[in-house]
Amino acid sequence: MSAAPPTLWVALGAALCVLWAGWVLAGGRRVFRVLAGLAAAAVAAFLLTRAAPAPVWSGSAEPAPAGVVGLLPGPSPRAGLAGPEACAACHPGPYATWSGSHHRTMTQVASARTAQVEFVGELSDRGVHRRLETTADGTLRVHTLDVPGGPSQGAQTVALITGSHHLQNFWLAQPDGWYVQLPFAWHLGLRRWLPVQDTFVQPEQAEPQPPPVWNDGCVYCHTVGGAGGIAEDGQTARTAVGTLGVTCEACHGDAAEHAAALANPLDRYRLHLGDAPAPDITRPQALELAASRALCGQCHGVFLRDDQPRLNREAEAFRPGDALAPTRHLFLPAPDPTDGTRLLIPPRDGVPVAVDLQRPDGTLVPTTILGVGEAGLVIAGTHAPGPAQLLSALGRIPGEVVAHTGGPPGAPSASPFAVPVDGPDSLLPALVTLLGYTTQQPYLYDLQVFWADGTARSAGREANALARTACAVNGPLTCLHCHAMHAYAAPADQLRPELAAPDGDLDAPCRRCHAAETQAGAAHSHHPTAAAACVDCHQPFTTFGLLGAIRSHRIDAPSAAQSAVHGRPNACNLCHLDQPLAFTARWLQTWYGQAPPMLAAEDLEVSAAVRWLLSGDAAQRAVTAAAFARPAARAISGRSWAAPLLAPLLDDDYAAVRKVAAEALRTQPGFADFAHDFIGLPGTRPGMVAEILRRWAATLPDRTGPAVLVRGAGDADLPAIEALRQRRDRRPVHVSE
Amino acid sequence: MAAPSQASGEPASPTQTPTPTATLRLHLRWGLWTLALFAVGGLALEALHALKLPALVDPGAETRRLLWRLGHAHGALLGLLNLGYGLATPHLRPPGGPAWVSRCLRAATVLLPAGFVLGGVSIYGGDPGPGVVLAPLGGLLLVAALIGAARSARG
Repeated sequence: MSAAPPTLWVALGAALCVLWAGWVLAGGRRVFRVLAGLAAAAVAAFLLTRAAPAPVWSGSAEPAPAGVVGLLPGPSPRAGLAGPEACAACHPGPYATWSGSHHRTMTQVASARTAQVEFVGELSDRGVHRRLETTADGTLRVHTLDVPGGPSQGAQTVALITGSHHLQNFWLAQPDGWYVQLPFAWHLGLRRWLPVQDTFVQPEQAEPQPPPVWNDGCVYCHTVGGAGGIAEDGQTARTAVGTLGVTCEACHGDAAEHAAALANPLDRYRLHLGDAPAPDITRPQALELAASRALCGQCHGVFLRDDQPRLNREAEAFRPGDALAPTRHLFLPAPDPTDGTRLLIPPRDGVPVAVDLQRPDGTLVPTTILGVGEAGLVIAGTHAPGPAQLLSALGRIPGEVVAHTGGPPGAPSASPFAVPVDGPDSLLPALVTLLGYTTQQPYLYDLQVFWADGTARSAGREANALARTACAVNGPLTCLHCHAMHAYAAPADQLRPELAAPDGDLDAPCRRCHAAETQAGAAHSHHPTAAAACVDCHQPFTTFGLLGAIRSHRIDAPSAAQSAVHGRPNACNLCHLDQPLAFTARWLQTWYGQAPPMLAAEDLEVSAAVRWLLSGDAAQRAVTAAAFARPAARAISGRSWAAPLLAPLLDDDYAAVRKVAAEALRTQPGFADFAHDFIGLPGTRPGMVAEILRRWAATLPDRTGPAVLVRGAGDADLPAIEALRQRRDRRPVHVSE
Repeated sequence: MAAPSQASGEPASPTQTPTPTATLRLHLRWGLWTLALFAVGGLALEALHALKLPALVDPGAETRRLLWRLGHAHGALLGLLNLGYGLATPHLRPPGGPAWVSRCLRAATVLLPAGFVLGGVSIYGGDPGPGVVLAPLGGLLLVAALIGAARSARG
């Protein structure tokens, strides 16, 4: 039977019931009355059971306030979606666990109920003033003010909310179909509003930044069946979604056919009592390894895409079970042994792609082909990541980028095509334009989500990290070894229950392949078993996201050489905060036979963590400052010597660094109540460092010596600290998430 | 099989006409025993909730919770129905009501709650286990009994 609107079936059933009631009232013969009644009931029941499933657009479990209804995205062009409610009837358990996850709330209809803050009051930052209002029906509105407390200059409605784990972001509906981000986000942990631009590792800007829009990026991974609907002129958007939030069909595929095929209970029981797999649905646990990794990787990664125009018109083409490659190419920066990181770009239409920078004299900056086969070629001559290096490269090579395809890099091309470049922010977008790739994010920023050795250092880029992990590249590792989408321990990380603290067996996933090492325990790690799980050494906290450090999803062995050459902090020095890189090199050589790297003189003497803290780039500073707050590191490295080193970071150029440094400082004796607001431009905290030093002088440092730049009680080597700080890597860093 | 005596409370064989008193006592006994049984079942359910038995309180056990709740509710209500039917039998025609009505009602009293309870023992996500097939059988018998009772209550 063809699907008809449920209301039609209900109307038919109701009509039959009315006819029957009329017959009864008319006093027809009893036997016919009974038969007519039974027939009416049977037909009505049949029609109702054949009613079409709920329409695809399910929106949200929360009813939308009246003020928002007309402002929501339209229904997705993906016709096969059923929506999560259709799954709940047969899969109540998975539905319930999904409902409790942060995937469900990746995007919600905005209302007073879905906002985790009372949406009232005024917000001001960098000359931007807003007044928040909640109307009687729960609609959230934002008024623009010229001055704090001033009259409203106009109001916009919050249509969507993204996030529910750490931050909630609010998206304002625009008349032309765009959803523009409110420049303030609610931080659930801190219970306060933050300027959005201060919630990422990015250079502090005195001026408000252009707000991002939801339609051209967020929609693809914060919904299912999202289609940007951006007009060719880029002026308007008719964005459509299947369901808000990351729902069942993101992992199981379009489910309408599956639901229809099993609508008959006899079909379901045939399935229950037989061995056949469920039809028309993807079971992630049954996928091949690569497809399983791609399933999570479709969103937990950063990509090059060449289907943006199609994506703007239609919904996402990726389906569970697919490989990533047909729709997107993982960014896979590879380490360059001599000159930092090179960005590898996959072949385009099967043809290797080369990009060179052209010097004013017409010669090309040499490029290196890395990993031919998997990768195409290289963005060359620059030392990514870091726009400062790009900038310096541009300083020497102003003006033009040339791209050519098919030939070896550095060789002249018969038909080179070039675009002018006027600064670092336009370099990579220009390259990308030349190559015909498109993306939702500025490429310049995308490069910076990697350490110089090619390891992802931004949260949400786990697929890129996993693609550099031997356990996944050469072994069976998938996300589901550690994470569970339904039977998880807690929504925060969705770890498998057996891994969850405090009694969790963190080594369980590793034991499958590394039984000997895990069984050896302390004999392998050379640390007390209770103090060092596999992940503590092989997945250090070198990824930054949502104002904190999380474990790296590139699983590898600690390496002093990687830290020395590429600057990625290693697990040893992120725990042994008081030890130099030479310490790590020595023990890795002694225990595991690692060849010691060539180290600078300072690496022999000064603690690596201290150097990263004072001289590192913003990502190094943030990751290292976070390490100073971790109990395990404080237990092994001392608890009362780091205040003079953390002090400069409390007025750092980056709000994110200031935030984690202040949290680390508060773990030092005497600083638990130290008042510090990480919001506010650097240079606006006079006397703060002196106050920190004054307080610290009252404590006895439990580490002293040249490694930690502390000579004794109240006696920090301030000149050395300042010297290291002066050598800070000031390249602007954008760790986009 | 020996014909049950009226003293034992068993209804007469199909060829015999049960006395109203025997049918009344039979259904009072069925009703009270059923209520007692499902009162114990209710206590057991409460205990399982109190102990947070994963098989009952896990999100994936929603179907089991529903079925056992239905089994408990239908059992208790059928107990009350037996009491009501027993008290009504002197007023039915023939006095004591048709024997097949009594049988249908007692069969439904067993099959309907048993179907729900057994259907909840092993579940398939949102679908009950095979035991649930008893529930519609019991439901049909209950409907038949109610129709028969209604017809025998005509003036």
